[in-house]
Amino acid sequence: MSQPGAWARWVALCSRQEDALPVALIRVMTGLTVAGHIAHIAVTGALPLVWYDAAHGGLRNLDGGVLRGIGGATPEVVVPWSIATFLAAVTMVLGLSRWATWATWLGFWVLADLNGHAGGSYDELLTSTLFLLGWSGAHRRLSIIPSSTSTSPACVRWLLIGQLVTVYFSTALQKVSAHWVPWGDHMALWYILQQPTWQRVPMLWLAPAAWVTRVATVVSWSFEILAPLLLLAMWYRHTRTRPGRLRALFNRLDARLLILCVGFGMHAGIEISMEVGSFSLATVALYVACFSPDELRWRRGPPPTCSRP
Amino acid sequence: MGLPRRLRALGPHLVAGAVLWHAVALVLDASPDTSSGLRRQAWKEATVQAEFHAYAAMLGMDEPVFEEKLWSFAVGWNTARARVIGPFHRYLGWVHSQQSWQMFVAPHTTPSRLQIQEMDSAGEWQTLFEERDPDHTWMEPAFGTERMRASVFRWSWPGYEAELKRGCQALATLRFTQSPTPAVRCHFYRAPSPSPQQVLDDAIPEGTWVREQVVRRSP
Repeated sequence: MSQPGAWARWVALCSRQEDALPVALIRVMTGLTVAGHIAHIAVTGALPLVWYDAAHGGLRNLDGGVLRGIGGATPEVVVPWSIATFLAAVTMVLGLSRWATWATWLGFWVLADLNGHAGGSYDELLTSTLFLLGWSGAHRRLSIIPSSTSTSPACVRWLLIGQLVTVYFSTALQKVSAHWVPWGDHMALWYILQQPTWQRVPMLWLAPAAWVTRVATVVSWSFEILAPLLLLAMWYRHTRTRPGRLRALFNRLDARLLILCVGFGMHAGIEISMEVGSFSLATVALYVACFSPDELRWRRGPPPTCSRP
Repeated sequence: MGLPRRLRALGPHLVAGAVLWHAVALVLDASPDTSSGLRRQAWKEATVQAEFHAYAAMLGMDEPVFEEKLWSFAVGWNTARARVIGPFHRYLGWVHSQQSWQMFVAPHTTPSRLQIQEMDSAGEWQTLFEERDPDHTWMEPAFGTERMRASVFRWSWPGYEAELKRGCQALATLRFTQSPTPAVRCHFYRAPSPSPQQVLDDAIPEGTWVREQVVRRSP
């Protein structure tokens, strides 16, 4: 019998179903991130300043985006829209329906698009993740409503891994400052930590141990530029029965776990020293995609599908 | 094979095509986009000039020549990029999955610190808020959010003067509802960030107050 062609193998790969547990966990974490973010913006009093038009107390003239048709960036529109998005995110966490994820995606991008000067990369990351989760069947697991099926297309989990790798690799390609690159002075993080915009507290006290920021600069840049290795490590785990020394080495060391540990450490450092919003939470949620359903099940039940890491 | 069955057989191919399309779009759209940095005015900023200086010295080039070559390269790159990623970028725009990952491209080595003051009855300015100052915390929870930080960060950059003016007006209007003050002032303290050695030597560089905006209460 002849080997199937590349397209046939791709179709087979994309048709594979697996237990929806990993995407369900990402759904819960992403929903909590969105709900927490909206609640935080509202409770601190920042909501009117960033999402209302200047005529209603906002910092900028806002055209209202897609909300223009129902009144624009006014309190009468933005407040109910924010509450609805918050509730959609909570409903998404509870796993009530696939539509909760789509409603959260819609609600959140509309809010994020209101004011392009008051956002960050977390907006794009959250909407990209929500878009993929919408197709995933993530509501079939960890839901308060039992579902007749508990599977999800495995390709969505792989796209989420691809999204994670793309974020890291792309940001490294753009870190071209002479303070970041290996042939520079490695002072990027020292200076970033001195910026009042991003620091949690003044950071001059770090001067006697400034070498720590130099090491962290090198580690952060290297981790990000080498992020495609995570995709390779995942592929090697997926095809672990195939031959190859590099594959065997990656699997023996569990290169995936090593890479994720470095990344987790980097995000922990960012969270402790800086205020960059929901970015770390939104990113770390995607780490779950690097684990197979079997690895995530703490109690072994009947295998719902044939799944490989 | 009947038509419905044929259509059903087509399903996995459509899914595989969609996955491939999304993956390619994701990768191409994440290629560096220099358009937001292509502003001559912003290139005159001290932080940007310091980067040019470092790279020109590294490459043994005159700084103006390096700057011109970089500008031409960035314009050419963006033109080519736009041509290649056009349809993918439009698709990602529709599904709100744009891949814009310009995070901490370069540290701002001459950052600005926002201070907001109100005028007291003696005509003296009293500080209400200063970024990361625990003693002046008016509206601090709001200013501490990532969205407000991103807004304020822009105000001190060239080209955002009108945004600062509008922003200060909004904050002053808010303050006028809380206090009888006749005026509110927003301005920035801009100073080079010290190196670790300068901190240890207690030789913190002096800065200057810039971008003053005064909003007076309407009669």
